[in-house]
Amino acid sequence: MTEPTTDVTDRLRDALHARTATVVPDPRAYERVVARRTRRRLRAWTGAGTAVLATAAVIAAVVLVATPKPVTLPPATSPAPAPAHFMAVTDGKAAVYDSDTPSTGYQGFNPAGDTVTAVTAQGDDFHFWSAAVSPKRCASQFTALEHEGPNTTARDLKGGSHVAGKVSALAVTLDGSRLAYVMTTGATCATTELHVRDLRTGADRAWRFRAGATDASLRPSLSWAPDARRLVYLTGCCDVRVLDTTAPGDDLLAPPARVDEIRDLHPEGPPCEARAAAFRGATGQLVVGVHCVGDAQVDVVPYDPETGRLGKVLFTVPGDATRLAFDRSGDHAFAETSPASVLLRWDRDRGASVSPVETGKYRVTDPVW
Amino acid sequence: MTTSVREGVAVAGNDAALPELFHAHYRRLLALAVLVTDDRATAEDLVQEAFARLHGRALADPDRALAYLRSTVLNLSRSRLRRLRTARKHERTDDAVLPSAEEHVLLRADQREVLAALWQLSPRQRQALVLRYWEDMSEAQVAAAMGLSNGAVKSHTSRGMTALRRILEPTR
Repeated sequence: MTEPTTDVTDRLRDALHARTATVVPDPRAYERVVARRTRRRLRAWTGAGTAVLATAAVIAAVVLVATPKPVTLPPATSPAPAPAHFMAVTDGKAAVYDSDTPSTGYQGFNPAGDTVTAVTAQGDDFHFWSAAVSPKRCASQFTALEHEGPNTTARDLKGGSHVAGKVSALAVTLDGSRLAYVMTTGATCATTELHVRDLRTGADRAWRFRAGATDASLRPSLSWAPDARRLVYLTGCCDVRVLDTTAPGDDLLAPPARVDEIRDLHPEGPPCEARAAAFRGATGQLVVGVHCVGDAQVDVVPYDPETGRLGKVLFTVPGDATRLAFDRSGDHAFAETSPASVLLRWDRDRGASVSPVETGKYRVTDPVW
Repeated sequence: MTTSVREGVAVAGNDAALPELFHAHYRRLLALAVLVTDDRATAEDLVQEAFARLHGRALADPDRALAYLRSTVLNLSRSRLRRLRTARKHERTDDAVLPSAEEHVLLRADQREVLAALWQLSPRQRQALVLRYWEDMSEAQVAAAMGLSNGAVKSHTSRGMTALRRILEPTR
């Protein structure tokens, strides 16, 4: 949000969403719910009254307490559960898949009637946005989707759902207050711009490449920090840039934080470059996909843009990685590879390994959750 | 979709439904509880309790599972706040309900000001405003969630907004 809102209602909405943006459940919450249920059952037993029942309850309690209870989700030391659903682009639609069984099918949405090119998710397994591009005109249309089970509501955006350009990437903040998008616009629909729409007020702000800028290309990959202020994107081949969207200026190459080359993985070895970048959900950790010359893989590592230091490798993607998408907890991620578009999934409780996502006959791109 | 939220809820009341119900609603309910209690630990406690209670009951209408959970969280939060208020009459511990520094570090000053003002309202006014402006519920939906009449909700909302304006815009 560039300017604090003034109307009390808007201020209230803004503050409430900001307050909940960083709320992440206790990783052991599910276990605790199961334990409470067990205790409630025991209390019901002991409340039965008779000595026989009380004795039986004690015995049952001893057995229940002494016997390890199988907890299917999540395991004792596991991270937060993965969202039940994710959204992706499939067959020109915004498609909602079941996270565990995506090959069984999807619920597709395309309210605008054009080809959906980009989707984004707020991370609450409920709010999603899509952008559909007109095949005949340099124009796109946004749709806000609220999806729960078989019920889905499509809404227009404040400030208008139509934009004069072709949208290729979307990213919404964790509090749902701001939508960033990459768009080509202009007379020939060839000028690349990055926009941020305030979803509460409809205000729109744009950043552009300066005239004559070299390597003026923007990867279709955006990711917000949990503060709903900083946005990470990649320009050219491999420059990671962190934009403070509240700072003045409109130059896409000007943001202070920038990754030129990352050599720390192999200080004495071949040069490395950033191939993808994203904030790791509500943890706020910036994560970069690093590819070193000669390697056939991308290492996904935390990166501190202020110190330039890299952390321990989170996971490794075979081939090249074009896009990283973390869930709200930061414990689960999708990685899209290129040139063969393969969808991989990482779960923190599985260590550094990734596994291919079985999508059956469906071609899944731009997954978000 | 082979495993929808509705299908998961449909078997609420036995163990099989709990994981999916938890996946689908826990985070959002936790956020709601944080807003109405302004205390992270209390919020976790209340939402876990709501899930524990839900699990022990067979709901006649599976579509009402979320509504039931939400109402339970709201009721528990009011009870908890009442007890806290009583305790504070004897022992003043203002910081007991203050959010952690980590959770507020990302908030702007004007957002903190609004939340502080919200905290000065009565629990029902605060709940009505949270449901209305964070959950984007209609007055009828808020009434159902809080177990009140539409008129009562309208009153709580109106008085809450008036109080907020008085606190945030004292010169008007």
